[in-house]
Amino acid sequence: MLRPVLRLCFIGTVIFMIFFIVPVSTVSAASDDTVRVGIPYDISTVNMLEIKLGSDIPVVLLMHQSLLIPHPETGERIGALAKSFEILENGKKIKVTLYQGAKFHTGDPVTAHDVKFTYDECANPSNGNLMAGALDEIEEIEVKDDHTLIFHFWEAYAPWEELMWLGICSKKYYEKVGPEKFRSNPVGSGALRFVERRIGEHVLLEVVKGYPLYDVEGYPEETYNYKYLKVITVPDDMTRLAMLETGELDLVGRIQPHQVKRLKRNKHVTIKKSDQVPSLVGIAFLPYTDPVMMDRNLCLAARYGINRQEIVDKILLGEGYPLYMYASRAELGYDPNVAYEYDLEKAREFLKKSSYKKGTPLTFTYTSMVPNAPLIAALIQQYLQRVGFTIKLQQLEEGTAATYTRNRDKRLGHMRLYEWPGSRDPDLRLRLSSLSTSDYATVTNRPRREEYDKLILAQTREMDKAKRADLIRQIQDIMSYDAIGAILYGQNMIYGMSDRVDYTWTPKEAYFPHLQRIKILK
Amino acid sequence: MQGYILKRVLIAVFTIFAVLTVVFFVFRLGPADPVSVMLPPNATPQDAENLTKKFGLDQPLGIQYVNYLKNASQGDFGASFRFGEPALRVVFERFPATLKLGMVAFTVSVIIGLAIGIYSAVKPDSIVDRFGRVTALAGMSLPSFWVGVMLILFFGVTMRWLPIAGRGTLLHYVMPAFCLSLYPIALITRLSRSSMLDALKSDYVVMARIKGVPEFYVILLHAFKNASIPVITVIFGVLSGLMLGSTVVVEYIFSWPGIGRLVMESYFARDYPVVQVFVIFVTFVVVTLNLIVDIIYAYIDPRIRYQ
Amino acid sequence: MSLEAGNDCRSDIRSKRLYNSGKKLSFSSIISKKKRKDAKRRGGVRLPYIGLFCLGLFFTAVIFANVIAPYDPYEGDLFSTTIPPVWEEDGSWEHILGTDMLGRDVLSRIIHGSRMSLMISVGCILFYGSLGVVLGLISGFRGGRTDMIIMRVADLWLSLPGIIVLFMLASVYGPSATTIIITFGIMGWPGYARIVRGECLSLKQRDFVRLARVAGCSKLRIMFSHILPNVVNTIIIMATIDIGGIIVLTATMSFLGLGTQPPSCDWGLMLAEGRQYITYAWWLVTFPGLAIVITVLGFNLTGDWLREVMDPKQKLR
Repeated sequence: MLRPVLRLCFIGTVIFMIFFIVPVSTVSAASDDTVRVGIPYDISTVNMLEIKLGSDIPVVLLMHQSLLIPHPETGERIGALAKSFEILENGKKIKVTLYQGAKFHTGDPVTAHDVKFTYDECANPSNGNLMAGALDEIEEIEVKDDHTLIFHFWEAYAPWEELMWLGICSKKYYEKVGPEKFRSNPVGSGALRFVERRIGEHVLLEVVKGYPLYDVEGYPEETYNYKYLKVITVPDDMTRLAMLETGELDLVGRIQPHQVKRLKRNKHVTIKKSDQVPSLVGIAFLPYTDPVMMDRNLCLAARYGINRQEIVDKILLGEGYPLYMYASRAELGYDPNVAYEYDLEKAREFLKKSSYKKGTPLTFTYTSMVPNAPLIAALIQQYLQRVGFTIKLQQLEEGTAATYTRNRDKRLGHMRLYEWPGSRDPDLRLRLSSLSTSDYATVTNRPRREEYDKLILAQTREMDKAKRADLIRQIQDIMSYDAIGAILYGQNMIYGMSDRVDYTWTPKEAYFPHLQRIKILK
Repeated sequence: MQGYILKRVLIAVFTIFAVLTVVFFVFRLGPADPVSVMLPPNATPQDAENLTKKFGLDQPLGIQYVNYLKNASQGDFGASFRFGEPALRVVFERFPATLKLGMVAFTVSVIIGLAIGIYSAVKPDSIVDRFGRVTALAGMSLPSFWVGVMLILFFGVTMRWLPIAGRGTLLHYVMPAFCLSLYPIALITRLSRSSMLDALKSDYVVMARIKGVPEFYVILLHAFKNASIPVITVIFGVLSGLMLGSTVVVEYIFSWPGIGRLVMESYFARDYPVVQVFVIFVTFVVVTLNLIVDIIYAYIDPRIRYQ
Repeated sequence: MSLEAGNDCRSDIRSKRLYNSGKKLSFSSIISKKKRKDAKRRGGVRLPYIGLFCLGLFFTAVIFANVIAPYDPYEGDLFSTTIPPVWEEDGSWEHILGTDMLGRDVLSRIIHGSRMSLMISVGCILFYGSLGVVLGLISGFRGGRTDMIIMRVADLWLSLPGIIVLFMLASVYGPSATTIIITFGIMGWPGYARIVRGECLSLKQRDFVRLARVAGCSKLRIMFSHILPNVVNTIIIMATIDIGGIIVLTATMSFLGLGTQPPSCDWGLMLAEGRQYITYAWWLVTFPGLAIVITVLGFNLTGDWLREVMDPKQKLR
């Protein structure tokens, strides 16, 4: 009995020595030509055709070029693969002319056939692409010649630019290697080429030499002075920031305001901020749980009873702005003049007028998806109880809350704290969650329902930008009047980088945009 | 004998089957469904329907179960909802990471645990004994997510001695392995101390001393040999615990790409195929180990066979 | 720390017991005087002062929470958020251990949190302890087919992957203190059942049980009024040691988002919540962590002492 045990101990000690004492010299030797970006989630797919999560888009788009891209400095959309757009027949058709000379990583030229192939595959329900639903607006895509194609829409579609970001995949390559190989090793025409993906660890990309392979007007493309981009998954916030401090990561986004204090003390870390980022946190009132939530006076009481400025000051430490309407700073339709001042007396009056019976507990649901959610929930509870509500807090796991929301389950409670990831165009959101005939509408019996629905449908088809903006303003007015929820605040994007790189966030983008534009200093 | 083994194998197969069935149904009866978890809030109902169909979740539960068993018996455990790759491959790609980390943590905890345990039994109430026992208990009473952060902030950020997360060099093992072995060290220390104390008082040790055997040999050859039986039982308990997912929190904090983290993330994403493969795998390992132990016992002690 | 904390504690005791039972003592005069003195002291004369002191602190907090806590643990003042503890630069005597992000007094929350911790751990142990004891008694006493079935189920139970079961139960029932109690309760019984069964098997052969049987006592009566009192010692010892494990596990559940609900002031929750702000306000995680350490230490040291004092085999000697 003893001898094997002794031997085991001995072998164990030897292994221990070899493991820990010998290789002291190699403390994460940072190779100079690799830039490491930390993200909290796993990249679930690198295949453009099968994207299911919005969080995969920024990485996938590095490998694929799109027809339209946001300008890295202004955030406005400009043509990338597409040289020009022509709106025909009052928006029913859009003619796209491609740049000549753009190439895939395999060396094949990008043609109109590849564009058609990509759009058809993304719209194909069997791929489960997140754009499949939105792409139903397109009736068909007609290829005129190698560099010209026409999108035929069923009806004029005002936010058509929202469909033009899909990364174009090589049809020839796909047909040659088949879907399995394409999934594990995709080929696009982007600034970076796919090298490897290790689930749970990282995605490694390599800069394509001599990119861009064509001239884009108005796009200040530069040559990249690094070789590899490594997108590393680090799920824990604390760990990610610690790695930024030690230089194990070069770039980290979505830093919470209270974490900045420590980072600022580190002179090897640069902190940058952007307030032109879509971000919206609000409370949805859920009338299907209890019709009392439809009561306009009750909602107004909640609206006036919450001190948004205080939330921004105390919890966001000033890194945000109070928001009173359904579009944040970077989105279409934002109007800084809309505001409800915090007024406790007014809130109490509204509550008295409402049909809310004092003492009835209302359930307030939140998930961990909203940053600082437990604090904000506790704070909202305090505010609302000061007005005269009785609030019971309920934390749900994100998956459960998402399922309840989709199924309109009563267990979701009376109110829900939510975060809207943001998009430039409110169209899809309006039609999905506001239109009273939609499956996901929370409120189906607004007082001015017919007018409201008509406006939403009209703005989708209005190709004239000024007229459309006016329609959207009218929609916002009705929303504000109906009072079916309370928007709380928008948060600034804080991102930090080590002193060996430089990077600037592209305005109006919610996820890491334009990672290829990271520059190595020195 | 063959009849006995056959009986035990049948029970083992039944166990795996029963566990799989329970997990399959309870998992699906929970309040969340994978399609809602996966889709962004602005996805259309059409998208949801497509995805449901793609995952095969539109069929009745019974049919899903029968299909699953049919495919599983042929070695096809389905594709991961999240990654679109075979669930079996996803789990086994990440198992080596857990295995390595577990082995290191295991070695560390056995060596340190035994050393402190034996020493404090030989010299009870000495400084090492008192200090070791209280430290071991304190280590046991701190949640590992707390210890992990403290380690990162001190050794990683302030001192810059150790890399924080990821894999690569052997130094990457130090912090997660230490964090992971805190609890086993406490356990092994306590157990080896108490059984060594008993062994040191026993007749054979006294006898050995009378015979004039040097103290060092008395401790290691006579006392430890007899004290090691209960210790080894616990050591193997610790080992299987480390291998099979008590590593969740540590893997999460140190961003270690092992199966503990995978199964946690897959659970929250409701990635049924991956979690099912994990469950089958874990049950298989546990049941097989038990089976082997049972059969060995039966060989050693024939009475068990006839029970 | 592992998710199987509870089980490991048990196997600790079990194996020690297995080993103890086969041991005889003689020749003791040959052991040197000092060693004998040590052995005697270890035999239970010395009280675990540190442990009792820790437990004293803990139970004072539990019993007098309303009296000694300086503030309401749930009410915050937004004008006094994140005040550091008193010895720091900006600290004040008004909040000895500082305040959290919502201006709630940390000391008051820790004092009130002791109640939650006690409630959860005692709830868990009552739940799975009673389940395990009853099943163990039945299994050990009846033997035969019943025994085989119960023990097979226990085996099957132990081969279930613990984390998955925790995840599943917690998300099916929604996170709350009750869920934690139920979850741990469902997972924890086989350990108790096995040990009680083992004790029961040997007690069954003893004279007092045989006499009771001859005297015509019903089986239930023998089980609960003759065998059970003899098992109680073991159960109490196991329970004391388990409490620590449960407190740590509860904290881990909170960390995974499956624990108790804010704004309740459970220590694990405070730790998990405060971890996010660790670089901003270190006192939010340090003091609840300290509270956990003190409590677990108290229970464990006292449990160890109890084991040595109450272990019937040691008494026989």
